[in-house]
Amino acid sequence: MRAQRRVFVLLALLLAATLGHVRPAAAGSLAFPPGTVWLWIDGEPQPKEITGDPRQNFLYGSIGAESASGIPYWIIVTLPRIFPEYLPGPGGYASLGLPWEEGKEFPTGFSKKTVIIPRVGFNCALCHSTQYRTTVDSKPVVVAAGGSNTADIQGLLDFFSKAANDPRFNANTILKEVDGAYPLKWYERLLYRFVLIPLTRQRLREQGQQFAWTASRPRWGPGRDAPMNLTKINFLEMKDDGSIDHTDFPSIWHLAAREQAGRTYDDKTPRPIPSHTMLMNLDGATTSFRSVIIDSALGLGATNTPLFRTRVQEILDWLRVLKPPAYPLSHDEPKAARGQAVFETECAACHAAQRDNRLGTVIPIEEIGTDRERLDTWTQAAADGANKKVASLGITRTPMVKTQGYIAVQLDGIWLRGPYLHNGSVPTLRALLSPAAERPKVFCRGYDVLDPENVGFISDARIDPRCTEPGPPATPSPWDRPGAPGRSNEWPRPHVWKYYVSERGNGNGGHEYGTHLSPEDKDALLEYLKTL
Amino acid sequence: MPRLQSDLCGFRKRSRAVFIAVVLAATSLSTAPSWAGSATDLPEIYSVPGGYLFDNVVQYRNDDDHFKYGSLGGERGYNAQIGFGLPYWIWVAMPELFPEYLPDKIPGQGLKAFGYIYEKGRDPRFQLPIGTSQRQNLGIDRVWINCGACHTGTVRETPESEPQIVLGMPANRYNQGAWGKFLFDCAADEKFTPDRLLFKIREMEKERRKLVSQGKLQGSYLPPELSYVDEWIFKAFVIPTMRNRLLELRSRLSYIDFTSWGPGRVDTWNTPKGLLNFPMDKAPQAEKKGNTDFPSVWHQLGRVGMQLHWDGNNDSVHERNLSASFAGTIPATLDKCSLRRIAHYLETLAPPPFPAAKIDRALAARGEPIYNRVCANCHGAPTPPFRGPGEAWKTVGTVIPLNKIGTDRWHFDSYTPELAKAQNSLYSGYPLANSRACPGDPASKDYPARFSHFRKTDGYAASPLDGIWLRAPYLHNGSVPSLRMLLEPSANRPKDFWIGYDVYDYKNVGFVTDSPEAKAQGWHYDTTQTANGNQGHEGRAYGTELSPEEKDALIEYLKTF
Repeated sequence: MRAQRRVFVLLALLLAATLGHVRPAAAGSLAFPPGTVWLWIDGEPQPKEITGDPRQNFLYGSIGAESASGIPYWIIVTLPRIFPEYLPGPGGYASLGLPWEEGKEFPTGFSKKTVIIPRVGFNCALCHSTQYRTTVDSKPVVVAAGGSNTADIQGLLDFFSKAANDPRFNANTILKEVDGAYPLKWYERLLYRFVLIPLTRQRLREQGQQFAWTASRPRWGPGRDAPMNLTKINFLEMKDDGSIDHTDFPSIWHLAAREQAGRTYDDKTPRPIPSHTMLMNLDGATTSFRSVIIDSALGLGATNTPLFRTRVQEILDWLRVLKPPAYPLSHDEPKAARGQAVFETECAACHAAQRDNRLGTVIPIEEIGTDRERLDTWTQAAADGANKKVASLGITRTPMVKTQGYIAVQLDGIWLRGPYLHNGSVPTLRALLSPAAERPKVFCRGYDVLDPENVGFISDARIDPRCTEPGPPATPSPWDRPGAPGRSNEWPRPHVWKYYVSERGNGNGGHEYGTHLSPEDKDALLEYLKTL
Repeated sequence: MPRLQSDLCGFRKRSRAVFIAVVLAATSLSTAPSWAGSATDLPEIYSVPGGYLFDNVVQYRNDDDHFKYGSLGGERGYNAQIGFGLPYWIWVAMPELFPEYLPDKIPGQGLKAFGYIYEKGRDPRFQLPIGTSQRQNLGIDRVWINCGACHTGTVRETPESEPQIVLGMPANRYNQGAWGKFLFDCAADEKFTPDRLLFKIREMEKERRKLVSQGKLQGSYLPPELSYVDEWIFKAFVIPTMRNRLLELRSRLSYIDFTSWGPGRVDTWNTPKGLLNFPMDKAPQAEKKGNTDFPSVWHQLGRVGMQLHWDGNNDSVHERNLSASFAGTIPATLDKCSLRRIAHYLETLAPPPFPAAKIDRALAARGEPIYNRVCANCHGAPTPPFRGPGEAWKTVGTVIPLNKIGTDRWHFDSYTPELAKAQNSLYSGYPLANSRACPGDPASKDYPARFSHFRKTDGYAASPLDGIWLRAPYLHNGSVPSLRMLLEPSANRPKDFWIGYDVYDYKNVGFVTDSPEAKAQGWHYDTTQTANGNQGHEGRAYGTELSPEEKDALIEYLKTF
């Protein structure tokens, strides 16, 4: 009886809040998949300064993930103040290296939206926006659609999960912290106390369990995740097979450059449709931009709503034409011209754009020789499962496949895409032009100051002497960071993370091209690569 | 209670109803407030519209008094947040019960030892100093600081003369760090028990009753004595809670060395890090100390659009005000109309002039072209508008990179990009949907709003020099005692001197820092300590290579600011 009354009160509260806040979208625009009966709520549109500008919309716009997996606003705001011990350093979410534009309420990739109550979901920019500094003292520049080099996404997931498993994740503690920041209305307070806080806690704990498998592997570190295992284990609910597929976040700008008419090169990959489009995902598992965007968005908890489909199309249209950023420092023009000649002989067969070459095709693993863990993680069974699952959600998209190698990627904006190779195992382009045996075995990732000499980010003793100390971690600590050496005007805080090529999936072998070049030729080639 | 009655007649009807309810409730809990003072400066006690039923603030008709004693709202709590305010009777009892934690260890002087300024005729044991405000919330009279605490200073001509109180001047004698440490020390002491405190409170009540019967303690609101019900509330709730919260705050701020601040200084950016609960054990040492001088707060209208704070991290006067008010309130308890009133007051508040008899006008006139040649590009005109006209002096109020200015970098490093980002979530959710404008101030409807102007900069801001004579010691960390020393290369500047003494040195322009009295009463400033470096702001561009005659003229001209 008492329980019933409580449920009734809660329903009444929810209804009151809904009536107050929600503007249901016009029924005419709905396009229900046949045979599916479901309810969706559009929520209040985001402010015009976000929706009106494609860049802002990419960085902070909703992709529809808020209703299913958004965290209530006041919870996500107060969590870092309640559980600082689960963060790598001072600064709340900023301590995780998430790119953060000046004056913005949240880092890039956080989208705030009111769906009954204000809440915060995540979008593509969480992993696909990056930042760099030209010098230690300069301001960070945030670049949309770049593959993040600094964002510690595993740290973010861990933070949520650890907080949710802490007994202090309760209404009293959280509402006390909210009281210090904002006067909630009485019905909001009740909603938080009896619905949102318990529900969020349960969801975050569940999410923590879903990601529990990540604990059995080396940490992703800043700028990486495990895309294929996330798909296999979390999206397709396949059994954990112990595989490791730590992969760099790729840049996703200028997709149109990947469509090249008149290609004849046949890489013998079984393709679902004959296409002149380059293969996508670093192992070439699919050819469709839309397919990649949809799968990634679903992974963030988006649901298949008209808003979602509109946003996928908008993002796709914008990313097609978005030009990669130009190299911000000066470069030597004549030297770059000499480098172009070197590029033609050494690299063009696989990497020159708009040619009839191997760009965008799968290079067999035997030929390329890079670390094969990522490749082996994605299986035929996984590809079939993913295709089936997406179809069952009522989404039509190009199927994914299984390949036997890694694709030769286009090199636009390559200066901002370090560290290099699919697993980010080679810190700079200069190191990539060395034989594998001579490449750094230990270096630091997650630092955002450009290295104009070697092309990439500074990764060595210039950050901290400990960055180049050899040997694997004795006890892999959750924040294996080389302390806090420098002055605090360095951004991000040197929460940089030490990368050991000896760890599984981190191998830096293979792609031994151009290693025989003379030092002058290498210099020239690097100068040319800055201009791409 | 004739005075109370007559005041009541001036109230609006709704407020009156609330007021009567409050008075009834208050009298049922405790004895009625006692009043004193002349009709013109009589404080009003009134209920904040739209606020809390049991919330009465002591309010002042005069803007000067409001700056000195007006409440920002932070004494009260909000739901689970108990608020900053110390109960009046505990405020009174603490220095009496814990004299061993006072800098001079002498009881009976209130908080004078921390440099709190008591106006003439006030009894520091029972009446409050400048920079504190009073509010009765949920039946308990509470006290907390306001803007006046850190931005009111004193100056004396000779050790014998009466101190002149200057509003808006840096609080040159106020040692906030020592006071904070005093509160923490008291809370951590085993004597901090309800029994001991209430015993002392009863003693003080008796003493005050005696003084009032002799006609003393005029001119201020004296909260009522504690009733039996009040005493029970203090015993069961107020004192244990206060102790817990002070100890909690102490552990949150444990990385701050409060003894290193000294009078007139504060570690501006490390305190908010604690309030945001940053895990400072993981922070680099370089950001854990940023001791810096209190600034003057005159002529705010002339500073609109400038990069404010020592490192120029915010160019919005509104946000700067709200940010500074975190010392006195949290968002949910902010009395925005009160803060707006102070902000409006500071827009045109001007510093007092340098004593005219002590300026050599002819010499000052020779100094003007030197100032215009060497200093004006960064420091602008003596009075607002500091910039202009047009493109002239547009550097005023902008940040000079650290590698150019060369001053001590500890304060610069204490403000981190991470803090700037976390500050973007302060006042989030504002402006409130049901926000109402303050009377006669329609723009306040959308006030406050979420912070969005904080930036990490690359140096220290060049500030206008209005009232520069009262802003000694100089540089952001107060490491140079006088303007004359600031015009010397850092090698010639004193390494040891004594601050927190308010007798003025009219020749060198600054306070006396090395007389025997200064040494006895002041605080030893050691420039070799971290964050205290006195280097920088030197070289040709900064006037340290001027001839002695030119320096004399320049200093004479700076007296006129």
